[in-house]
Amino acid sequence: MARDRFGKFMDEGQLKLLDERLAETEARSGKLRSFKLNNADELAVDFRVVRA
Amino acid sequence: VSEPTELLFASIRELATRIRTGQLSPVQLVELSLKRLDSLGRQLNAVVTLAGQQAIDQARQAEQEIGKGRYRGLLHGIPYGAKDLLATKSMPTTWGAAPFRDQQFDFDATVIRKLSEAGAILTAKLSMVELAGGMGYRNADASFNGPGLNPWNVDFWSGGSSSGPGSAVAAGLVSFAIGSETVGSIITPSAFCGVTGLRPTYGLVSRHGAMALCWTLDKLGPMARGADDCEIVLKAIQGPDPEDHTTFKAPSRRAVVKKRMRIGIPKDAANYVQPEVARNFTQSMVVLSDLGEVAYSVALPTFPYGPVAGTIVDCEGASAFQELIESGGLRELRADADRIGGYAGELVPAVDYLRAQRIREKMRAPFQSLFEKFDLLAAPSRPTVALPIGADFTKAYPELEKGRPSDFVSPVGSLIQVGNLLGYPAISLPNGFGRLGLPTGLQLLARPLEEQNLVSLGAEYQRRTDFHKKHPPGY
Repeated sequence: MARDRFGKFMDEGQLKLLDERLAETEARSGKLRSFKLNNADELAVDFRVVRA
Repeated sequence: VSEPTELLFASIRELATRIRTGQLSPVQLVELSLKRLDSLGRQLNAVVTLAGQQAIDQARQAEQEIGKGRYRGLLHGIPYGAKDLLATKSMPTTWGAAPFRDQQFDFDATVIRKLSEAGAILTAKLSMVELAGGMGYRNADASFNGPGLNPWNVDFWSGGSSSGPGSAVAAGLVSFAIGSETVGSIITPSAFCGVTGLRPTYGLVSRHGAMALCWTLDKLGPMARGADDCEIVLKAIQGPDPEDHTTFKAPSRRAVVKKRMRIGIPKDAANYVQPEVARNFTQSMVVLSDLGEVAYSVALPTFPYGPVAGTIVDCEGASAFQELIESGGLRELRADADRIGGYAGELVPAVDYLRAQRIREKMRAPFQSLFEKFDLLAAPSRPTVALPIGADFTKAYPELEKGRPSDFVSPVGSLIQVGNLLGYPAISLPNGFGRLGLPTGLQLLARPLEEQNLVSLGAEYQRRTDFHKKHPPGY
């Protein structure tokens, strides 16, 4: 997906760097997923209705 | 402060007394700031744009006003610098990045306006890491005008992303500067450059007119000679702003000040840091134990602080700069890592961002409980002194990895990450010197809106130490 969307902006060296960065992102994602959350655990950023 | 070159190393209060009583001309002070910024500041890659004649005109106006008895307060006639992510109608605002080097706004950021109303005089827009580091830079050479050089040793970095504010204050080019922090960008350069930096509570200072990197994390705050100076500047810039919906009114001083504070030291705070950092931290705790009750080996709640902060920065940063990323504009950035970071940020799954924000919410209650036992948490500001120019950040001090368990999570980094994630205020105080005479710092973290506890304890610490009064040889 990265190569499809952004490959035109990068040379081979940069594509390799991007692969490394995406591997780090994936590892980080695994750390997030290993933290247990319950269905109703909400976001730190909340949405509120504003009365007109 | 008898020698002209010493003037910009004086505290704001000292300068203000001399300005108010007519012993010191704001014009002399501003001209000195401009001269030093133009020579030393450029050598340090700390300056993007000088205010020049406009600053001299403002200094003349300040002198006339004060002469007529219209003294505005402690900042009247005091020269300062602003990180170049704050909009100014009279100068370009580059965000430290080549694609924006000619960017011009037609208004002043709220912080710039408030400081102008207080009589402070902007003498320069100061350097910063391109886009405040949001694209994931990995070495010091990540600003369009070159790496920020540390005045204590120009082979080392001044820190980021508020690199210019750090070195300009440390080198005595301005009396104070305004920096910004998303995750560590005030605390880090303050520690590396040996200045005092205050990161306010999220929402205490308006960000209107500041470059947005992460809407849920960005803060603006002062970097100055000492804690007292930071308090003076904070009072001038804080407060509600209809242009920034996250802002609110600060509580009164009496509401929060504590006489004898309970200070918690996280477990392992001085482990796997440079030996000089550990030594200086231990000595700082001896001083603080005179001022409060110090408790050691405090367990921090267990959370993936780094992954949560990193995910939020990547996603909000990619969203804030989506047009730049998708137009290929990253190619114009300086650092190799920044030229690809935005693409990685765009590809983080939405569920990861949401999960990070949900975990962030879970951090709130355990830290509220922890802060029922303690008024402040303390740790070294950074595990090391400044990083060398040219080195990859992760490889600069490989000796720290010796014997370190692979699952070790540094409480030094965790305190910066969780402090930012929860919007808590923090201060970095110079607390000594380490390798090659480079400065080290002490970070204190407080409950939301308890900046007064940070500056009170910081000022008391600085009455008992003189690290904040030292300045780099040759400056």
